[in-house]
Amino acid sequence: MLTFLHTRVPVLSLWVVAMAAARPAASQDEASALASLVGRADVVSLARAVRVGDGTPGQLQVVLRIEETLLGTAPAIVTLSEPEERGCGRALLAVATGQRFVACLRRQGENFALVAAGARALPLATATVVAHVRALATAAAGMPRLTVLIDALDSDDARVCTDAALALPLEPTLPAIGADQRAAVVAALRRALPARSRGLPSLVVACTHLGESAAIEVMLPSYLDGSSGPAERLLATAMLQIDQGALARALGARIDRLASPLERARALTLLDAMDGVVARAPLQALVRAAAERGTRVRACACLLRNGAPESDLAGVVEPAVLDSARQAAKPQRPRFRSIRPE
Amino acid sequence: MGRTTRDVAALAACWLVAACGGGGAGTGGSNGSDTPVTIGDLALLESSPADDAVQVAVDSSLWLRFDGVLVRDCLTPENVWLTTAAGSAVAAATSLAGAGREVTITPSALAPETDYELHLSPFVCDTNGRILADSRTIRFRTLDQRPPALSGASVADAQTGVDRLANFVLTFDEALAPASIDATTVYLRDVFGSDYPCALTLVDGYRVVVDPLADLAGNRRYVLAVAGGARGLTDRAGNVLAQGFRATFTTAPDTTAPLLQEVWPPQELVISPLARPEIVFNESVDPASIEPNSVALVDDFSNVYPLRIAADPSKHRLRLVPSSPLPKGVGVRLSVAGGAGALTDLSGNTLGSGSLSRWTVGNDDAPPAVVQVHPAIDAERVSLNVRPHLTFDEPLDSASVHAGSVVLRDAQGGVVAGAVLLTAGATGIEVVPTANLRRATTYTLVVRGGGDGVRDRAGNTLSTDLEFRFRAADDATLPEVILLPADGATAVPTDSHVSAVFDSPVDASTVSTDTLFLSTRNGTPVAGDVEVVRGGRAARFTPRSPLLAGTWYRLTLRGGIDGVREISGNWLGVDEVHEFRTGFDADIQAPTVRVSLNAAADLRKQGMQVPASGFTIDVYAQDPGNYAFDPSSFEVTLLGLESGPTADQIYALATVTRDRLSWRVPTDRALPPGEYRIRAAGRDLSGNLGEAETVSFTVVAPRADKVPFERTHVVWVRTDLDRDGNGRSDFVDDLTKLGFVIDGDPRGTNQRMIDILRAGIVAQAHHLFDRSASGAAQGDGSVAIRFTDRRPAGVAHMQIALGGLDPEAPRQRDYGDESSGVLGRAFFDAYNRQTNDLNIGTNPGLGVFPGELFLFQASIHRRVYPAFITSFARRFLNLAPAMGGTPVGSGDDDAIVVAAGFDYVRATSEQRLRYDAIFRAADEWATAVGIVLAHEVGHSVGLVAEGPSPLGLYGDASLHDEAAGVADVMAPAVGYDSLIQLDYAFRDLDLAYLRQRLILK
Repeated sequence: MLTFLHTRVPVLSLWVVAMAAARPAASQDEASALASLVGRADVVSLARAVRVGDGTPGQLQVVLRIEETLLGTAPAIVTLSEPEERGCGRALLAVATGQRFVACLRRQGENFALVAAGARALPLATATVVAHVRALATAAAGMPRLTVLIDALDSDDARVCTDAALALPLEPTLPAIGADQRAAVVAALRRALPARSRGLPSLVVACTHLGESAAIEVMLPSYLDGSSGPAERLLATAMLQIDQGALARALGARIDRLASPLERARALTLLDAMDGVVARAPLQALVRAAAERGTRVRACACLLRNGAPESDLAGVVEPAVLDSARQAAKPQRPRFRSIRPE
Repeated sequence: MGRTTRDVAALAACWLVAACGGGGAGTGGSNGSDTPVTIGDLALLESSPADDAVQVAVDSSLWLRFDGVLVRDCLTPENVWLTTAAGSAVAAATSLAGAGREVTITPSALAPETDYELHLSPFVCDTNGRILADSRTIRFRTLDQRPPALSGASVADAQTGVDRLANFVLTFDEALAPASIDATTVYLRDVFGSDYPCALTLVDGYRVVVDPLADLAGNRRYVLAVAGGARGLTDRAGNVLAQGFRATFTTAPDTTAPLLQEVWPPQELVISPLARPEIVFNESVDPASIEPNSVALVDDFSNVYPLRIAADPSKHRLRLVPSSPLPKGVGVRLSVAGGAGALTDLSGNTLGSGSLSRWTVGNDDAPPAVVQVHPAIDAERVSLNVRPHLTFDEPLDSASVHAGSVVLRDAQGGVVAGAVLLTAGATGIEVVPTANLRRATTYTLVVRGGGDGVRDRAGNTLSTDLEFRFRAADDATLPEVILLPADGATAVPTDSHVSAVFDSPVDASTVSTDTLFLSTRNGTPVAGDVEVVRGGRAARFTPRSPLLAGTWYRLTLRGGIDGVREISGNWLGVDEVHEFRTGFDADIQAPTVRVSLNAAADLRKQGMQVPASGFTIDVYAQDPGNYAFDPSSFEVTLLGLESGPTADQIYALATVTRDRLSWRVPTDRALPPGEYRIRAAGRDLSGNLGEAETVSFTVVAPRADKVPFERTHVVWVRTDLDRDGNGRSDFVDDLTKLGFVIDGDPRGTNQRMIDILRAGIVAQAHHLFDRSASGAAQGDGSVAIRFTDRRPAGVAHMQIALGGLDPEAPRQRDYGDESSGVLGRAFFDAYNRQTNDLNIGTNPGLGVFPGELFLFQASIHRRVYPAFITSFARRFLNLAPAMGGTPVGSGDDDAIVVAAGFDYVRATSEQRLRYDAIFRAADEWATAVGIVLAHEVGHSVGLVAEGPSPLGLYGDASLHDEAAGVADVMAPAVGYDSLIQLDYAFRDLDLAYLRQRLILK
């Protein structure tokens, strides 16, 4: 029998985390990456659930026995409670007696509460999670914490690995990392891309913040062949922000090997979005390589918009293509995903 | 009577009490029966007046009849309203009649002679909760006894200096009946009373364009007249033009001499004794000005041949018809005189320069004869992309083959638009229609005879018109084919065969080694055998010997009338030709094949409960080594039925792509309840077999209380709420912080921005439920949910608050303050048992909280700026006042840029920049918030039930997707970059549940 009919469900907390320096107010439901939990906690401890239930009516109560304190000072026993209906924002529903957790706690007067809400707020104390949390608890802000996070990117534990990725773009000192660490971030991106892991967007953003042109060589093949799936737009935006010159060169080296009109169309989307003359050479190569008229028209239009003289194209494409390109080169009203301001 | 808003609130309150007590069964709104579920919407059966009616009495009431008993409360001015055609509102009272199935609309007053529109919104509903689902408009015109009147003419009576080459425009004060416009009611005459033929075109209903076929003479008087009275023009109501119009005008002088442009036949040609030479001018000429000396046909012996002059309607072309056949073997000369005594144009200007042409009269006086017709005469099942062509026994004169002499007509006699081409060394005529022909329609190809018709190069014409009939196939879709090996493929295994998969069965008699064949690149044929397989959906060519290693081959699948045809008769437009190169080995690696239901991932594909039909069986294949999977080899076997569909029967009805087969079980193949297993397999082009893991599922009779929708579910998105009590709606609070609106609204842009953002958010939510931006269904994949941003009166509906901060967090927070991190909260309603969830309360705080997203993103920006600029900051640094931006409404050009109809192309670069800055930010915000809205509404229709199928939808303890993917709508958490950059979608089983292709226990 289903027992959860018609319960209320608080839903959809933010993934990403911020404000390690700030102390959230008691009622706030903060994000739940491990770095954020540790960063905002008064007490970080390893605790075992010794009793579940028997709270006041409508409340679910969990009694934790603190087995080790990694940060701060905690009593031996902490009692947590929350409304018993299920849903996101609730942390205690999945807790079973005997399980061991990493408890990131905040003082509320004489009592303690979890730093964040939601099921991710009380992570199971696996060996890998504990080791990572221990490292976070002792690392200072800035480069030491970044080192812990980057080391965690290749963890076998999905929670550790994903949470480290989520935390990276929020570190203002990220650009100061060294070459090895940059390579580690790019390697993590290479692993996340085919898996479409939930840390992927953050890794892409981190590479963007780093201006890491090596990431282009990781993202570009996946973007061009369509295997990036729902992340296609994300990758395009990131590559364009990282280094347009490097992107243009990478595209130029691939133009002749693009296997289908669809791949050429994706290449064109990138080239069309570039500023100025960096796109000219690959665009000219695309005009020569593409058999399909649509790509040739679009590529010629991009060249005209970029300031290429028509005379450069006149001998390369037939007059009808050039005519169409001339029309297509005129400013076009942008198209939007959701709004229709026409 | 429909459930009211108050009822909904009461139910929601009961819920909370039950929930706090440990959960309880829902009440109301549920069906609980074992009745199989179908989604039905309300239908309008009849209306009076009917759409496009005229002469509707001004004291009429309007009447509508539906197929359900309507809810009285839904008959609000927002749902049923009357306007003039110009858009002015008309007050009207509505009432129910006919046992509630009929609606009477009584206008306060209808003006005579006025066009009206009766509008029905999609939210007109019946007592079963069904909504009309789509907008409807009924147009009519009231009693009109006023005759139409001419309100303007481009030429006035007594006007002089009128352009003799221009057309004339007559404008009337109301729309006219098109049938009343002809040469008897609108005409042009010269001063002698002779009609001057004109083309008459009705534009926009009330403008008549009069275009003389021939040029007018210069400095000449003409009369343009419109007939009134009993035989005059009429309006749509039949009222005749009371007062005719007559303008006598004089054209401008014309002193320019005409020019002779062309003489036919060309010089020195051997012509037919029956030839009729033609002379062509740059303007209309006067045939009556031709004297015996001005145009003369004389033979070598100075015999003069009398000529009859025939002019085409434009009088640019004169045809010279000898009174008798010319004698064979003689030389003839046509002299067209110039200067004094020459023919003149219509203004009397004399031809300046003449010409002299000479021909020899030959023996050929036989007209061209048709020797071949495609399609054959009275052919049936002709493909819709046919290009009819005829072959004659001799070359034709190219000037005689044109759209006037070769015409393709449909069954009603209408001319099919297209090009007429001369082909095959000028012996063929091909008609290329602009668009595909209509299915199951008879067409006639007409080749005109006589002087205006087709002729051979000697000038022999067809004696009469030729007509060739054929009938188009009864199939609106043209064949599509997957032909493998792919064009340009390399390293193709040497033991490969050729595979062609069509989207519908082919006519086996058209598949042979003449239509599907292989050769080397230099044309050496490859011996092989062709077979039609898979119920006619596929053909294979199997070489008798292995292919040569490292060799280029050319694979051809014939298209066109002599190529492979579908059973319906349709054929490929052109040949499909692939070139590929073989590798150096045979292929021994088997492909991988997997099968699933409802496109579910492997983790979730076992043990589903599905309805008897409507769900999909999906097979996926990969041949990673050489990408050489053969899609004609998909085998799907349904185990559990004594006499179920065979693999070929399934294949024949499935959608097949290069690496996937998908079969949506149709209603007429519904499976009886029971346990089933699916086995699937496939082979690569070398015949290596891959087999899928078997999938088990159960077919059950769906119960109404176990599926989410019995009818289209209405969701009212509440952007009007002011839950923080600051005197302004929470939705507008958000937009103010973001810089989309501005206090005081100095440039009047606020409301437009509010409308754009609100519509954009709803459009994104609709999109995620597979509906159009406006909410219209887009096919059987659309989920039965329709959002509206105004109160849907009378229909049971869900409400959800949209705007502001999390009500459970401190209220008075602004830029720089902490976010609660919660973007939304909604009731979970298993199976969507309640149609009226109220997600608008403050305790618990329910709804969508964009304000929290703003605070959170602002805090990240404050943390990382200026080291980085986040995606959010990249947009809102331009706009948000707290971030130093310029809010919409404070920029100099904002009123222009934001206005509807802003001309982006002609705008200044600064205006374009501002437009981009405003609307790219708006689009991203609307996208992000729309996804959150869809997520919350997803909870309130039963997502994501906990546990594996069939008890759950692989939801986790928090009722979100367990192990969610990066772009799953029902993921437990999201990030702003993900929201704006990824293509979000509901996960496989979530979508199957919403589409009712999966039944939960």
